[in-house]
Amino acid sequence: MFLPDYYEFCARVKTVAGHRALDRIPELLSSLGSSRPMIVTDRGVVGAGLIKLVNAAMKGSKAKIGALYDETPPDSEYTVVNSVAKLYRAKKCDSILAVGGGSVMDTAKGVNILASLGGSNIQDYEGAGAVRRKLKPLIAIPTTSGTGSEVTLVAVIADHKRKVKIPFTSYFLLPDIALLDSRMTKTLPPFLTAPTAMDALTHACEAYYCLAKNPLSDATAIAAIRLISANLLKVIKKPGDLQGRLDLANGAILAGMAFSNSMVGIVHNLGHATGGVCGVPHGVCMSLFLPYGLEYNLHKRAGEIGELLFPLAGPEVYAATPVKQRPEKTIEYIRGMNQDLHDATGGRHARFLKEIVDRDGRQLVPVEKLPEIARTAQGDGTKVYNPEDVSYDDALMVLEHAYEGKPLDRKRIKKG
Amino acid sequence: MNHDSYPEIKPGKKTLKRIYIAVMLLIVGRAIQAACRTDSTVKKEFQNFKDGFAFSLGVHPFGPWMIVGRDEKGRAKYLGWKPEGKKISLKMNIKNVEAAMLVFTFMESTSVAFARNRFVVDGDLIDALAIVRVLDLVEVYLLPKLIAGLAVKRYPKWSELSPVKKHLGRIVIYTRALLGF
Amino acid sequence: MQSPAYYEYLGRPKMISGKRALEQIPAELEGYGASRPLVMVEGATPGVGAAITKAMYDSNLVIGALFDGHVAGSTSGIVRELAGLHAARKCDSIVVAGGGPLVDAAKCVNIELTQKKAAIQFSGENKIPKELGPFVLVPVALVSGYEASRYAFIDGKMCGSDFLSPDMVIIDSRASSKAAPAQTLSSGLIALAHAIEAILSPQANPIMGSYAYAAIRLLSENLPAAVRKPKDGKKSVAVANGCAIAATAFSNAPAGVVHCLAEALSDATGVDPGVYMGILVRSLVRKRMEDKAGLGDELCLALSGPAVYSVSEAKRRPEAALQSLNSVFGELGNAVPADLAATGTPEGQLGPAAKNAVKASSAKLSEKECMDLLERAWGGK
Repeated sequence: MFLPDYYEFCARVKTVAGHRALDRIPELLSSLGSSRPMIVTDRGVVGAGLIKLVNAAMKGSKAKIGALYDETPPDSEYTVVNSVAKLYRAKKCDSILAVGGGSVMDTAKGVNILASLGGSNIQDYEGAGAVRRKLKPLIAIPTTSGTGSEVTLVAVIADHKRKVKIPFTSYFLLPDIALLDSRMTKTLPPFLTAPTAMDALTHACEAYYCLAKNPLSDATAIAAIRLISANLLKVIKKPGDLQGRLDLANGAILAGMAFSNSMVGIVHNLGHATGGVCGVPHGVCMSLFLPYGLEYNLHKRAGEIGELLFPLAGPEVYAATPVKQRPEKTIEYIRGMNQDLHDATGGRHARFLKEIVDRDGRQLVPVEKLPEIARTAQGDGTKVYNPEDVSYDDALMVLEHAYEGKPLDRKRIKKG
Repeated sequence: MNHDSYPEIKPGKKTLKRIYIAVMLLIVGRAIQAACRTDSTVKKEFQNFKDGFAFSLGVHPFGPWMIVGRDEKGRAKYLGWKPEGKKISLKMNIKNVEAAMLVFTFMESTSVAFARNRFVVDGDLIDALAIVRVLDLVEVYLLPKLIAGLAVKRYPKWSELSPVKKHLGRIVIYTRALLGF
Repeated sequence: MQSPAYYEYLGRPKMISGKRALEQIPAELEGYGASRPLVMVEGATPGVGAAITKAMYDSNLVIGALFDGHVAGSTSGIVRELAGLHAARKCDSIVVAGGGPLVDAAKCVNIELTQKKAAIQFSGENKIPKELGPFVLVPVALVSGYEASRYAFIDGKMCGSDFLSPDMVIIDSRASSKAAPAQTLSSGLIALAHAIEAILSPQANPIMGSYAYAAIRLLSENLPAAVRKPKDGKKSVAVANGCAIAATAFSNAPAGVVHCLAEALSDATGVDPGVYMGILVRSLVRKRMEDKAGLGDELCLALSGPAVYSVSEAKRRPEAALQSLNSVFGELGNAVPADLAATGTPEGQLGPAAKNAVKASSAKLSEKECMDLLERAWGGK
């Protein structure tokens, strides 16, 4: 087992997971000394009837929902955080139940800073070391199996006026409890299940080759990949498969533990930038860039990439593939997964940039945007943790290949 | 229990290591200023910063530091080692002297030190990444390939940095860094 | 791998391990708003106190008191005195470097200071109502296996609470390489047994499995070499990592049959519990192979590692796993006796030990399964 000269690992979140985990909410709230939680969520979650499930679980509990905020935008934002914190105080809440995806989690974490430490503007807490003590209880209930933000210590909050996304980081931003219930993801349609689960798979794969990898990030990454790889297609074909849903949720939280400690590299670097410039959903970018990220780092991380074949394809394939061919086989396998998902979702799962379209069928990433994406990527922090350097030219080169869906021209990867 | 047997200890200082780091910071700080006049990439990075931008790089909590700013013409200017009284938009602090030693003896590259949480960055991340790129380039100029290869992820190929440019640039940057102009 | 219908898991400590890890202490405590720790080191292990003091140089932190006495057992008396020292010096956090009773006492000091009541009043499960003060553990040898877990002992009574898991476990060769070979061996065997039992426990889940996997791999690959070369910093760090990670898994699984029997035997005979756990856990693995329950894929993978596991035919994976475990013990050589008989334990102690183990266990152990395992282990089966 690989042990680096130095590492840090922290996943201080209590995981509560199961087919009926929601039913534990009253008990969990009471163990946290809370009796008036606020629910932070979004319209989509309410529309899917998931808040009803939470309310049903609260029946007979001493705790009462103090307030419900269901207008979290897809990009968590300063003004939203500030006004939700105001509502939290006005309704005298004492804890937060965050029910949703990444943006809901980010918003809830931001609200918790203001609710716990005082103040009316979250911007006052920008900068390192601003949050230094325990915050109010926060229970994170994810409704997609992807982002892993239920176990990360960061809240990314946008300021549309300044056109920036500011990361707030502190160990105190980790939720107290991550609650996974298979019912929460059961109704997620296949074309959304695919990219969110591939998002988690990408977290785990990148965590396995990036600069801060360590024994615990490796072990959680391997477990995550095994769970996701074995269940994703099954769930896409049979969305009501609750066991498969629970396995995916567990895979996503494990992947979250891995990547938030080992960090992520070029796949996230390009993904964040593509999302920022063209508004492409995060998960879509992840699955699409993953094979390119592996190819790009191959000359520095062949061993690690080869080892990924074991959790991805299983012991038989791993044993049958000679060591030297394993890295290539891993890349091929991921491309195959994307193809299978493309087929299983009737073509809605995009395999390359050209294929990404919005609801009206318009292409989301026009080829002339690639230089802007490459430039934006240079300002994204994940670039630091990638094993190989990624300059503007490198980023553009990878983007051009990913646009057409061609494998990387290996001769064009600069190897220093 | 006799409390006197278990003393309070006010930790001392690692003076030699701090002097070493201070000297390295001085050289790097002046080298950035020099490189900005010699190397087009560094020049471009500094022109992209906002007017009045200044950053500090140093050791938490007592220093040493170096401060480099952008002058009104968009060039890098070494502003000395005292952060007091200066408007610093980006603070990059290494968490302690020993971690700083790892970085400045090139046992840990800037990226690895970042990945290992050795740095605390206070300010805009986009600026911090630009500074990391500048530091990498300056290290390529200042150090022999054998050592710089440890400090940066990818040592530039001849095609990217011509030998004439590198060696001439290196001489110019060294002279300016040492003489301080 | 499949997720259980329900589980809970908490891996509370932040792990910081490796080069210049001790120097991280000031910045980490600063994150909690703390800057005046009570530092506790085992007086009998020279050099650790000095290393920690030196690591604090050039920081904002002041060591409120450096306690370097010897703590033979965690008693209400010593805890009260240490809490007095902590209070008199206005400390705001605890850094403890060592293992065994010293760590128990440090945790109980933290209870007393935060809860303002005698620590003994909090013995039992989940009796501590709120967060304790910042607590840093620097492992030398984790000889009891409880140090990095959610448990602490006072006057022989156990306190169990998530709040008793250290906030940080800081592993540095300047501390871990100071362990005596016998301590390293014992701590490694306890951790190995804990990790194996965690995977086999009914509470097993994917997160626990990952922690146990990391612990078993680290220990299998590094424990024998660390015992042979006690001064090897890298190996000692690897073993300390395995031990701390196993302790976190152990915090989430009920103490298993190996753990309970080993403690009962050790209480009766004074033989090191680690040695008992080493012998018993091998017998447990053999026994499970014959049972219908089997070893399970997860344990096979953890014991063999992906390389060996994948080349074994599915049917033969348990055998390959046992072989891998046996080879670890083979490398340890005479340090671990082959069977219980060879430890000098009187055969008459087995019955009472089985009874005591059943009494002590929170999981529902039967006397029969305890006796069965003891008898196997007696003959090295």
